[in-house]
Amino acid sequence: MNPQFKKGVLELIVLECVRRKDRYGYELVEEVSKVIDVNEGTIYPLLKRLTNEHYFETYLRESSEGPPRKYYHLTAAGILYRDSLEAEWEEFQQQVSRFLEEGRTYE
Amino acid sequence: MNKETFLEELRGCLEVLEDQEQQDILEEYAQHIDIKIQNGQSEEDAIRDFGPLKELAAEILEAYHVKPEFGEGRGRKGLPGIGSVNLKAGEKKLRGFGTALRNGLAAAGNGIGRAFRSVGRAGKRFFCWIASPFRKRREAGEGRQDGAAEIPEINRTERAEAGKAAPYGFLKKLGHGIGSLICWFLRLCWNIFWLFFALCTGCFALAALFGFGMMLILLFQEYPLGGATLVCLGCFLAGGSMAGICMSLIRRKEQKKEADKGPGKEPAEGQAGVSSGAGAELETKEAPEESEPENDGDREPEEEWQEVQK
Repeated sequence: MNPQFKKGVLELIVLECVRRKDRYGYELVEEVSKVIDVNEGTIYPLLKRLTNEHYFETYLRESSEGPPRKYYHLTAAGILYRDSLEAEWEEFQQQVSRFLEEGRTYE
Repeated sequence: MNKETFLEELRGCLEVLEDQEQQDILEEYAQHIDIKIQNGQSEEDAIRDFGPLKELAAEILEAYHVKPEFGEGRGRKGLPGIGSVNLKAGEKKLRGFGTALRNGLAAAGNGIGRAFRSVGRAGKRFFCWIASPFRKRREAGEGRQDGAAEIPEINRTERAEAGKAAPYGFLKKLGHGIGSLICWFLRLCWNIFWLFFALCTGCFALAALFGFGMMLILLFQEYPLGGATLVCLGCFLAGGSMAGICMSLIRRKEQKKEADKGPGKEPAEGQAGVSSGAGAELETKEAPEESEPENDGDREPEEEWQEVQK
């Protein structure tokens, strides 16, 4: 898939995943990978950025399989941001689709 | 590349961030790698999935709005992790050295202050010492209460000062050495003077004793020498007591053990000091007290001085 597409929607997908359920890093990478193929390296920086901008909260939860894991949780600001991103995505997707639809008539 | 190397290199690229942030980030990556290893992947594969390290570092720094060149610049140097570590260590050493220097100067300043204070204290002690014979005669009658009250106070202040001065022992010792040298010299003069005086009065007393003996014999030979006999007796007693006082004023070397015997002896001496006329008692009291110091080297005449010094 075109990396530029992926980069564009990656934020939205990550936010949506965490909105559905608090997740930790590895789990989140797995979930996002089901939707789009993504470089693991880029997920963590993205998580860091969204946390620094206070869209995510983090907390540690004990795990039976090793050291405590850092869980990400969507804040109220994060929810609003996700909604705005979804709205943008909808508008963007509709415009592109409409443009392509028009193109078909040009055959 | 293995996990340790990867994490070290990554940390090197993230030097610009706060230590806590670096720790946070690296822990998460380490955990991610660990889980992937648990799920069967090899270290190499797990790390390869992250992609090129420099790009990864650049993206991380983006989250903090750091200039991307920063991460790259560090990465270009051969082993960024090690270089930065050495830099930090060097900085810390320098800072430590600066602190140590500052502390040293402060200590030196304090030490000099304490040395001066010790000299001052030595001077004060000297004056106390000169004044003490007179104070002793005055206070002897009042008894030991004043002396006893003085001593704990002085002990406390001396001990407190000693405690505070502990870190600056050397300079304090120096001040003390100078002070004690001065004290010793003055004590020597004092002692010589009183010794000489004691010898003179002692000789006088002996002469008087001789005269008294002569008069007594002549008296028994029915010469009218009753008055002269009494005069000789009186002179002998006066001379003897004067010599005793002079001897008691001599300050010999202190020994702390003697201080214990001080309270016991002081009243005896006090009374002796008051009743200068009661020659016989004085003689007997002073003589054994004075003969013992010859053996012990230090005695209750010294006590008040010792206690004042302590």
